Amino acid sequence: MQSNKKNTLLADSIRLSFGTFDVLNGAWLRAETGKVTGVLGRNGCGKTCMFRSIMGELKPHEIFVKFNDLVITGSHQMGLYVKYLPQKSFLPDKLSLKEAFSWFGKDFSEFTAEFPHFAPNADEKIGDLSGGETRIVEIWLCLNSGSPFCILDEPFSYLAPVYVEQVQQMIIRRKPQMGIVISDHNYQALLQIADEVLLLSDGYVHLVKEQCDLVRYGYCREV
Amino acid sequence: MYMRPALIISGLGSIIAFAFIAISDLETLTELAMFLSTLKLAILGTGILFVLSMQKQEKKYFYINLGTSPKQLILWGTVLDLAIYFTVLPLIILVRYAIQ
Repeated sequence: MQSNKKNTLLADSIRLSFGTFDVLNGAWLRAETGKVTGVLGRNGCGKTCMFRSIMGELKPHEIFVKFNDLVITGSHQMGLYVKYLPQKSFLPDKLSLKEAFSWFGKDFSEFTAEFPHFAPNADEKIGDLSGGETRIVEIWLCLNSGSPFCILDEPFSYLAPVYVEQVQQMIIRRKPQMGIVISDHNYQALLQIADEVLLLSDGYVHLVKEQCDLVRYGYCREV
Repeated sequence: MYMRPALIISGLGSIIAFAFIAISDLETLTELAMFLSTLKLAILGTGILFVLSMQKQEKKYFYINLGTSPKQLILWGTVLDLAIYFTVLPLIILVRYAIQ
């Protein structure tokens, strides 16, 4: 979908609270084709809530989402514009690898060209794969399904260092065609590939201009 | 795929209801049809609750990423199931009266 054009995704004024606890106080997120946007924040600061609000699965008090000039309302199907990788596996356990790829309109051979050791597993069920293997499959599907945007929530979890590098390379290769948002606590791996870094703290989003900002906002002790 | 377990249970309920209506006495046909329809709605409702309770939060994103919405899938699955049921049921009753 519009893969050669520069697309923009903007989510603004996100206000979400659970009872008296304010999780997001006007948080925002922007992404555009050709850019990797990193989102950092301490555990429980609301990163996942922000992503779920954007995907329409959480109902915040306020949210404004725009894809290019199109204002996205509740009736729109976000999956057409944004693919979302949640923290835990989203593929049904009973699907075989081959079936999972066909649901997303992709050929399994395209995947095995990049990850040849998966080739003998075409008929294996998703539920029989290891957590890391499932993660690789899901990241590949999110990045290669032709959607203009992709939100990856902790893509490096469960992955061996060699796979982290492969995923980083995959993201860099896909960057010219899509806008990618990543959140991960492996912030070193995230900082290596992010063009813009946002830090979510106390419900607010801060633009990280220098890495020392991460220390200043209390995300880490040193960078 | 999302609604499959609920629709299988509800579909089986429909087939059993149709079979009962087809072989029952004409005197008790209307009462039996109303009783079975109530039972059918209860089965469908339970099936939907079962689907909602069994589905892990993250698995919803499979359908969302495909450009659909789990809520809409439930709605359309329910409408389709009830439309089939409430079309076939009167047809069977009409045929029963016609061949009397």
